[in-house]
Amino acid sequence: MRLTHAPVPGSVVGMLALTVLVETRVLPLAAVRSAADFLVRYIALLFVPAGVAIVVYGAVLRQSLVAIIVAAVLSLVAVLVVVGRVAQHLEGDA
Amino acid sequence: MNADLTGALWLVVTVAVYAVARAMYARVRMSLLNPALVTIVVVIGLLRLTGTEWTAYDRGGHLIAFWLGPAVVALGVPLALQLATVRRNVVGIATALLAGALVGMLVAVGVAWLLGAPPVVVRSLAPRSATSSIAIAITTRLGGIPALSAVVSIVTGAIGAGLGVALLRLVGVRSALATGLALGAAAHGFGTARAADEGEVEGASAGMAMGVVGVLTALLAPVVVAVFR
Repeated sequence: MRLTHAPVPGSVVGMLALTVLVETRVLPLAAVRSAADFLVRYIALLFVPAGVAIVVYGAVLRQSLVAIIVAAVLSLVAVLVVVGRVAQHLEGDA
Repeated sequence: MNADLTGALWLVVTVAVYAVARAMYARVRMSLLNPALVTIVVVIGLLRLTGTEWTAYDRGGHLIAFWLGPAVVALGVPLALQLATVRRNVVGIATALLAGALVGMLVAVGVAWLLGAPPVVVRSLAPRSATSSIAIAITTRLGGIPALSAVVSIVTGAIGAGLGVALLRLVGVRSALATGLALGAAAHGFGTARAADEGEVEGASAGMAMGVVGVLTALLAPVVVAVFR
């Protein structure tokens, strides 16, 4: 069933709901902590199959390899600088 | 060999390679030896070596990938715990992370679009600033290439963990809080591990930034992608 047409992944909606439920103590931390810790500890293993699937897209990726690398690296640098500078600036104001 | 048996075998191989990669990383702690990245590269190499098709691999692989959804939901628990520790400067932190999530996505999508990448690649770069698990969920929903989003998040996370602190010092960022937030927002899990090496404030703020930026990216990505169609 789909409640909205917004293309936000269900798992992220679930994550947000769990955050609110735990933060407001509607859901006791003890009830979810061990299961959550286990899943989060091995999360890197869980996305390996999704990464392996990159072999299927060899052709399209080779064509745009330069665009992908430049866009990804510039985005990384931009986020570091923007978050670091803005946070430090607003911290000074506080 | 029977197809289900082949799938089960690859499942075991994936877990075993990951276990070795994780143990190796615990010893050397080199950013580029990220266990997930090493496992992906080794498994792809083994598939090539044995002439195995991806569809055969995925008969086992999808049994692992299934748990990614529940694991993303589980990220809500550490996020709630980290948010509970934020007592002061809430507006400043929220502003910095919102700006970071927006800029990270606009730069990734905008640059790829300007350089002529096809729409499916542009869409897949939108969640660059989200941790891999969330990035995969976002790209799946937007109709991109989840594998590309996963690899881009892992690789940029490793680069950011390796060079992030030096770059932040270069642009004059010295505060522990700002350093942690920037590393978590830009370099996800590996940035968070690197931030924790710097100090307690850095580690906690990085973990929170990773979760918040992941959620913000998921909420903003559909809008940004619609603009750059």
